[in-house]
Amino acid sequence: MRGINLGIGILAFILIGLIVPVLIPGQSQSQENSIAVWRGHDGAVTDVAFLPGGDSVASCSLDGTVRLWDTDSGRMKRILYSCLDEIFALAVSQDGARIVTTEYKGKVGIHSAEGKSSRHLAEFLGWSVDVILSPDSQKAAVWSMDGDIWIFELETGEHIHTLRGRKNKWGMALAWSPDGSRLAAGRLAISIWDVNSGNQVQTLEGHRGFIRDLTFSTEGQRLASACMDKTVCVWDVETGKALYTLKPQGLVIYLKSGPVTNPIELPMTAVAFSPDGRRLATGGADRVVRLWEAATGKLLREFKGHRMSITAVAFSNNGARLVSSSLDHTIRVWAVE
Amino acid sequence: MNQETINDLNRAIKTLERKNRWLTLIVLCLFAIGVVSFLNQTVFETDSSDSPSQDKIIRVRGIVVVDENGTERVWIGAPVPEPLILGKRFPRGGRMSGIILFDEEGNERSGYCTSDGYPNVLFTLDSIGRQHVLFMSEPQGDTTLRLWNGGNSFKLDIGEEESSLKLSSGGKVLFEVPPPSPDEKGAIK
Repeated sequence: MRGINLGIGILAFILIGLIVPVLIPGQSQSQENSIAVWRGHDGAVTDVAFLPGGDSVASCSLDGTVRLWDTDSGRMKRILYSCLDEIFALAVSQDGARIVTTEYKGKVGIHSAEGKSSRHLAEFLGWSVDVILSPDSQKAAVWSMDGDIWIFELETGEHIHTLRGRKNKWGMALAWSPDGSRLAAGRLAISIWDVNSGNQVQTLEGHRGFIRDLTFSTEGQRLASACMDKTVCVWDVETGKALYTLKPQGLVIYLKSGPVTNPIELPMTAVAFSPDGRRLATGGADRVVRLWEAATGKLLREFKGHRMSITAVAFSNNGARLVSSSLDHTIRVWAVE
Repeated sequence: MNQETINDLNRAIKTLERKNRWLTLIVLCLFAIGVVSFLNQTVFETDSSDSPSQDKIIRVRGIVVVDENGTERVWIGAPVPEPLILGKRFPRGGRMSGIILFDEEGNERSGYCTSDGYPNVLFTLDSIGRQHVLFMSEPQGDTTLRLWNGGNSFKLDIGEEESSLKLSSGGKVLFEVPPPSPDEKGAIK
């Protein structure tokens, strides 16, 4: 009888242990407000972007793959490309048919979104860690180690233009203005070039570290920069003045008892304007995706869940969803509305 | 006990003695084989370059220690790899050989290396993406210890002819020996 009681006791203990965590979610779960977590990459996810239409999301990783995901189900549709090198950045063409990537030591790859073909541009004086496409997707630009920005024709892979930079001064952030006339390149300062004349027309100074990400607003009047100096800055492109500077604070550490936020500032790595230009999303080494009012810099929401630094953020075409990639090997989807 | 029984016992004893001799011989042979095998493994094989041994020296260009997530945490290499910071890899600017430590995200955070070309030996400690401690010795003997974060810094230089020490805070020099020459003071202002 005593043995039976002991057995019942042990069984009850096990059942309580199984049921309680389901009924009462832990603090870490309640803090995780992403609507989906996509796992599949075997390494840090370095960049992410929606395809036009919003049905698919493309991602690239240090695991050497470019993957395509179904936005609704979160199922990985296909591996578009696989190689032995690390892949640092991607850009999606306007029609969604091609995805351009930059790999270790500056190899630039062009991949069919159908996964049917991949080819590489002729190697240049390499090591670009970012690649961008012109708004019409006819041209791709990379920043070479020699300081020059090389522009390639995407269809032929031909090197058609060079924006002459300072010798051996190269950076890791590029952005093309929506009208295609200007190209912004971020190092310690942001240089803005007239793409047609090849002249540098504007310099935006104020950051105190290497600029990590750049993006123009849809109307092209504002430029946002995420920087290793732990700030995000929004600039008026015409005047060259900083409209405001954001300095987010709070590194999220996930302990067994739940998430703990340490009030420290860390490098910012990612920034994106919403398609309507009203919101700004940022991400950084503090593992938090933040949503800001783009006109004022007022913090609207914080999205927590990533276990490691965020590498990229991107809005869906209708602005309702946000995706973020992270060194924790995952992509997370967040509901903006 | 009759004679026949005694004879049977004698035959049985002789048979057992014969078997005992064989068994003794077999045991001795097995023991000898064991001894030879043992000696073969412990003494003779140490001279063979193809055999595994605790004393063997590993000659490789690099060793990488990874954590349970597959993230590289320690690199011992000649040379060490280019630095990886927040998912992007950059050229190091010069070839280095030694030991590099990475944090759980794979960011390079510390190095204990010698540089190729100009043979310095150095030890560094970094935040994410930025170096904050440098302890370096140059081939001719000059040694430097530097700590900095933004406008705050500490610098100790030990040369053959002289030493210097400088402490700055908020971009201003708080303490400096030997004191700067008037020209240098002008430059600071």
